[in-house]
Amino acid sequence: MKVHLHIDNRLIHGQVTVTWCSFFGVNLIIVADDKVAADPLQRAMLPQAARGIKTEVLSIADAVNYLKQRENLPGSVLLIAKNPLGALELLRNGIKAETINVGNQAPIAGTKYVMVLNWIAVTSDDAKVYKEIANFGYKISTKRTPNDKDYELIDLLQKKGLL
Amino acid sequence: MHKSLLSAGEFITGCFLGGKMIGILIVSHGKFAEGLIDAAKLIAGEQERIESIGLFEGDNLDDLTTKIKQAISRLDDGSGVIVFVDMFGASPSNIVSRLIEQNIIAITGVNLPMVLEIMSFRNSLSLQEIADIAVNSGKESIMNLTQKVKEILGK
Repeated sequence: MKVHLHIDNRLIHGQVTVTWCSFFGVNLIIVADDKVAADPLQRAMLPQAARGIKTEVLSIADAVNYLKQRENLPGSVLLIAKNPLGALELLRNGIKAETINVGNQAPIAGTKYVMVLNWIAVTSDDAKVYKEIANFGYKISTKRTPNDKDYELIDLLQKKGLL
Repeated sequence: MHKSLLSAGEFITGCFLGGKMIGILIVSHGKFAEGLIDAAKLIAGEQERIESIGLFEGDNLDDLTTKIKQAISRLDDGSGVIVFVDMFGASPSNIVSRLIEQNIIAITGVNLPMVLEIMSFRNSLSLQEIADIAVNSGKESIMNLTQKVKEILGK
């Protein structure tokens, strides 16, 4: 199974997520986040936002197992992490992604962040995590939707003095 | 919010964001329109080509018409403008319903989810597609949350 890793604090949001799914030709969404998976309400509500696309809400460990079991099956999946740390955990546990994209990272009140783009807030800790992700050999794109212009994240972080 | 001097990254972003995109105008009684944009920015970040106009106590309707026409002209870069109004039948709606010469589509009953849904698509979809998505998302976003939660928890 091909994995398209998507980092978005809003997880699934209507038209945006559906557009990514049709762009990549995926018919399965996996939200991989320990807190979200532990919350029965969010687990039940998230699939509704996916507008008919099959959705699994799993802890990071379960998401890794789920994908490992299906490694040699055809098809693609949109794997959504809430933040860069979640994405890094997935990669550290052996997930290999076709693409990595940051869709939305809203600023977290009380943290010291820089807006590298209007829709992406980065703290100095985040920057270190993104660097580790890039060290796996990935280019990290920063598109809200597939048609957005592509700015490579490590470039932006360097320009903003975060790396 | 963090402010910084215009860096190379922001300049590039500014150039990109200044590219062709459908404008958004929200017209309402009072501060509702302004508040909607404030809320949308909290969730989706700063946006280009989006304005609000409020109708306040004692305002002149001819002035409001002029303000709306001028805002539409500013917001239209050739891609058109989607004009949201708060409700059907009141002054904002009545004024906008008469503006058939301009490249706009007007939608009533504006809510936050419908504005958010179309924000990211303004440089890639047509005005008609944006309008359809807005209407559908607006409607879909309304639910009895308590009932839903009870269903999910099996109560």
